[in-house]
This record gives sequence, C-alpha cells and structure tokens, in this order.
Amino acid sequence: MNAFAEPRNVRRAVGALAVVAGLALGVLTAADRPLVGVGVYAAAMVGVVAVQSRAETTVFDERDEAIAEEAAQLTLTVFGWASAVVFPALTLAWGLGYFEWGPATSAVALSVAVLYLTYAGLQFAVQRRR
Amino acid sequence: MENALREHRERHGLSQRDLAERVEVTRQTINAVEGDRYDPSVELVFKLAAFFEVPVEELFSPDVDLGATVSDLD
Repeated sequence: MNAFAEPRNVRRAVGALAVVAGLALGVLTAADRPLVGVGVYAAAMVGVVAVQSRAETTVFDERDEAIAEEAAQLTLTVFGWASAVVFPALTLAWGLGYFEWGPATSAVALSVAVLYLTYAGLQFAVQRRR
Repeated sequence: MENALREHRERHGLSQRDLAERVEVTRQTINAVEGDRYDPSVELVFKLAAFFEVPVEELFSPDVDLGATVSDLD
C-alpha cells in the first residue's frame, strides 16, 4: 500500500522534510560544515517534491493558500509594528549616543527595509494586473 | 456564510473524504466549510453546487445583509 495515499501522511512528511532542510542548513553552516548543510538541504527539498508527486489525492488546496496568505499578512503586520517602534527608537538612541549600529542590527534593519520594499513593489505589480 | 453542505453530503451517503476527493480539495477543507470556519472560494462554491446538482443558493447563504437590489432603482 502506498503510504502517501493518505493526505495526512504526505503533509507530515512534507513538513518534516522542510524542517530537516532548514535545520540542516542552519545548524551545519553554524557548525562550519556548509557543503554538508547545503547537500542535506537539497536532498530534503528534493524529498519534498518527490513526496508530493507520489500523493494520490489533493494534499494542499485553497484553504492552505488562504491560511498562508493570512499568516503572511499577520507576519508583515507584526514586522511593521515592530519596525515602527524598534528602528526609530534605536535611531534615537544612536543619535543620543546610547547605541551603536553593529553588523547584526544593521543587517536586520536592512533586511526589514528590503522586505517592505519588495512588498511595496509587488503590491504595485499585482495592482496593475487587476 | 451559512451552508447546508453537511445535509447534502449526508443525504447522498458521502463521507467528508469522499466529497473532498470528488471536488479536489482536502477533507480538512470540507470539515472547515461545514463547521463555518472557512468560506470557500467562488470556484469551490460553484463546484460543490454543480456536484450536488443544486443552485448555489440552496447550498450557501450569506449571513450578512446584502444591501441594495436593482428593484431599489425604481
């Protein structure tokens, strides 16, 4: 019997493989084994595709998309509010000499800025399509 | 949006899984629609109505005031 006939098994396998992929990349890179990390990551992601292709019924559908959309929107909102408070506060602290922008905080600030620029750009692009 | 999905499904002796397979969604989606926790897409609404061979209004009804109608123009 195909174990992937049951959608629940496929969802679990996909979730587990995605976690393994992410953890392998992060942990093995931190452990100074980047090539092994990328190798495990790639193998796990191939596994994700393979498992889904063996599924005999619908595994992910419009409800999953709706959940992902809502979660993405909430993520942006949380980041938005955090950024609206944290970054001006850090900039104020920097201006007053209480804080120094280091590589890590600068990278986080830059990533958030890139995230919102991407969001604004895609919003514009999607709006033009509709 | 209120719905009579469970009644129609049970009338035809179908399990949630059977119905999910017929309209190509997951069993969890059928369960969520029946439990009023998820409003299906227009596409799925029409698919379900077509599957049960009933008008959409027989399966789904909005639980909000729909507002003005064209009769109000008179």
